[in-house]
Amino acid sequence: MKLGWIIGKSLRQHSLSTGFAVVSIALGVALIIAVVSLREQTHRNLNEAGMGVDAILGPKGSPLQIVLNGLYHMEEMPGKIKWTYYRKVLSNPIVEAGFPFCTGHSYAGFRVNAVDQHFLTNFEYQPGKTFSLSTAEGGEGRLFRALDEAVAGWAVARELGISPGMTFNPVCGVASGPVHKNSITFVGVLAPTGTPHDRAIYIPLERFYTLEGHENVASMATDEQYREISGAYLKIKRVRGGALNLNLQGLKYDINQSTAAQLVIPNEVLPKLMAIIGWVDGALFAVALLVTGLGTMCLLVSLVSALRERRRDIAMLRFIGATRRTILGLVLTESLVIALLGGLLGLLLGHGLVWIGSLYIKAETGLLFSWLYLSTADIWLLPGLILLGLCAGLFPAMQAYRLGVLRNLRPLS
Amino acid sequence: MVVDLKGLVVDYTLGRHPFTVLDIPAWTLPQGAQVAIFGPSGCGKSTLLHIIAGLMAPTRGTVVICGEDLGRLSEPELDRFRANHIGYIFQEFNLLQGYSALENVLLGLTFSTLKPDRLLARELLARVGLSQRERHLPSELSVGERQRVAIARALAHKPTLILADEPTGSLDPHHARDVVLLLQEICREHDCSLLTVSHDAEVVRSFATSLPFLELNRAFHTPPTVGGDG
Repeated sequence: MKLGWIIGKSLRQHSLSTGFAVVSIALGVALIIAVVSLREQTHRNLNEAGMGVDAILGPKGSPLQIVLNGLYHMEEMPGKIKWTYYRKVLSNPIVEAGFPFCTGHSYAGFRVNAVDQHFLTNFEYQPGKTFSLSTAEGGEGRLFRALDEAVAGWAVARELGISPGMTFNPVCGVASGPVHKNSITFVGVLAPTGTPHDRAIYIPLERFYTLEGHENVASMATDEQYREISGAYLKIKRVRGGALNLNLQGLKYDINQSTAAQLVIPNEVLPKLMAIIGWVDGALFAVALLVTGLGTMCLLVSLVSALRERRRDIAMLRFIGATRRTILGLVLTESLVIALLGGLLGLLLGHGLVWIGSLYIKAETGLLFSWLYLSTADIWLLPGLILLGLCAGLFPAMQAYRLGVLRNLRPLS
Repeated sequence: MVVDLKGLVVDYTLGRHPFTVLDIPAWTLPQGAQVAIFGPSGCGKSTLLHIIAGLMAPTRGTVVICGEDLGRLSEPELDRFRANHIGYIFQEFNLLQGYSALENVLLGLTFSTLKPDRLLARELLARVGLSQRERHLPSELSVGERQRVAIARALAHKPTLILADEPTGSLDPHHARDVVLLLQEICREHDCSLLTVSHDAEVVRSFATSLPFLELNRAFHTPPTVGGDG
């Protein structure tokens, strides 16, 4: 209590340098928390996005392009695959279910994907979780029943203000292109899933082939021999313990040896994606460490300069009975208090940054990031700050410890 | 006896030249006594106070203060001893600049075994005539007021012995006389002994007992000024 009073007075006495040190540390901590939280949540989200899809059957081309198009509604599919080939793969004993889709259309910047109703009722975007239209969960309306009906993902509906009864005309192409004359009515809005599926509009598969301007492929709607699809999500049977059937690699090998299609396993491709973008968060993390290092230096400089100003005060404290250890403890505690204050401010700022980032990421990708997510950085924050405070405070504390009483109480005149 | 010195010798080395600054065969200060030691600047008066306060160890001899042989105490024990038994008044006050008058007085008992007592601190400030200046910082007080705060601080932890090192050195003669009289009165009220060193004849005359330092100290020479040594 007594020492707390002296520390409080000292911090107030040097409020400018204390404030500067607190802000410097806070900036570093905020950056570390934001970078680590966003990185971990990105990993988690990418893994979860892949969890709903064990494998994607797609055309020959870049596996990463197929994953980006199939799971994240980005890029374009490099081609088409035959429906008959998809059916053949579907009949493989290790394949539990398949969800065919056609991509290549858009509306107001959002992808319009053609799927069968089976996708909207049975596809698990996370283990055990299927799409819902329940108003209690944030959805509304019903599934499409007719060709000119569509269901909007939650983020699309929110951003475009879509509600059941509204209509739209799909654009041929993912950026710009001719607008199809078919007017399609939204009949439902999916409840939020926190996955990129929130950022797409879903129309019936048959509608894809019969859109105005698609006359050359209209027969695909009825003739399965000629039908083509962009790809299909595959659910693979589990073996005991929930692991994927080991024969998946055999199936992948067989398919990839053929010229008809390729099988892409998202959980194999996503780490490559993370490796590609990993240097960015590595660089950001390095910058965050650098800023924290500078914050620590600010704290050290602040303590040393405060100590120079306070030599007489400290000598006086020693004179009136403070032991060397007490003085050591005072300076170290002061350093710890500044580090902890900076850490607390950084914690709030960091989570604030994550909140801002989550809004942007949600708008761009549909992925849900939580500003309350407890990352590794949060867990290590307290011990890290204690270490930082002790490191920064040790040198000035030792200087204060060694301070000569009589030498520093010499008359000024 | 509050102070009991025996065979006290303090040697200094300045460059390569050692010299003796204090050589006091025996000297005592009874409980409740008020004594002024006077002598010219640089003759070792402050060094004697530092030895009695336990801030310096003599080269030889024993220093017993309030029944405690300081030579047998470790540095932390000396710090605690000072916090509980010694009050010290400096020529330049040495008030902590960021602390108000009241807080400076409270600091006086921060490291003692007594609990911080704001009421006592206020009473002391009132006693030295500064009840209206409790919240003022040292920079907002006159030099005379600062020395009164220093007196209140020296008394806050109810010491047995007050050491005053040129307590009026920074004051004009009028304030100097007031401060010395106040100090003597308060020490009597609190039943503590007072040992003052000064080169000011006016201050010395106001004490019933005074002692020429050169009579007490057998080290007859005038050494060059050494740090902190008055």
